[in-house]
Amino acid sequence: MNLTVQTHPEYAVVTPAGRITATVAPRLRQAVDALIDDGAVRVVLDLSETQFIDSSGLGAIIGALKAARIAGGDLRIAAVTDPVRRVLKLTNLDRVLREHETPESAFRGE
Amino acid sequence: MESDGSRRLRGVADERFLEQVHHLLADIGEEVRGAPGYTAEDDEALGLFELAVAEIAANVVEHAETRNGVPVHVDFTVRAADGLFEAIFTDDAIFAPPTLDGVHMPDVEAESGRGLALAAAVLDELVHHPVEAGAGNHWELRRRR
Repeated sequence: MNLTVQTHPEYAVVTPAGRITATVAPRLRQAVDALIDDGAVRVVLDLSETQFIDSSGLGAIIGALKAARIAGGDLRIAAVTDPVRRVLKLTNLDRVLREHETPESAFRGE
Repeated sequence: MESDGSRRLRGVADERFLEQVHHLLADIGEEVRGAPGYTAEDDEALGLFELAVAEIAANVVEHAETRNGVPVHVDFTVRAADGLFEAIFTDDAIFAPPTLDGVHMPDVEAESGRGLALAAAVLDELVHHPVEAGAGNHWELRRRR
């Protein structure tokens, strides 16, 4: 998994490319934690390049979501691919992680 | 590749093994996706099968690490046959209950505990039993396509 982080004035975008699995999930969590530590508490996870996620990856996202909310921000997901959408539905996480079409639209209008 | 078209991995049940399982899954995925007559339904079945294999592989490695520093060995076989995806794991760790009875999806706020529930949900057949009395773990995973 390659991880890209981009910061914008209103939010930050984390883009994991490839497979989010048990061996790499901690890196995703650390990337979001580092943003929150720097005060970037509004985070978009751009999943357009993620074709696979397992339960460790989901755990990392839920942990990051909770950390962002505790810091007064939020974590939102954007550009979700079909394989990832299926896993979110199977685990009922689509109820707490609402999809946004693009990273740009995730925090638009709050 | 084995004579029946299956792929096999043997080694110590550690993070490296987990990565090798993912590489093998990616190889098989590429092979299957390139075959004539491959459908969108096949693709969904393959994706969910890969997920189940990843979850069981992670479970094997997680329990292997609790064995007082003694390396646990695991034997993994995976194959894409006509109408079926199948994987088998056999390790020499202490048999790790709980069994699959009563596995359920945890609350949405949980940060762990979804692995077995996910595997059970996406497979047509998931079997887990000791290799012999109280010793070793044998897993069989099957998903129709």
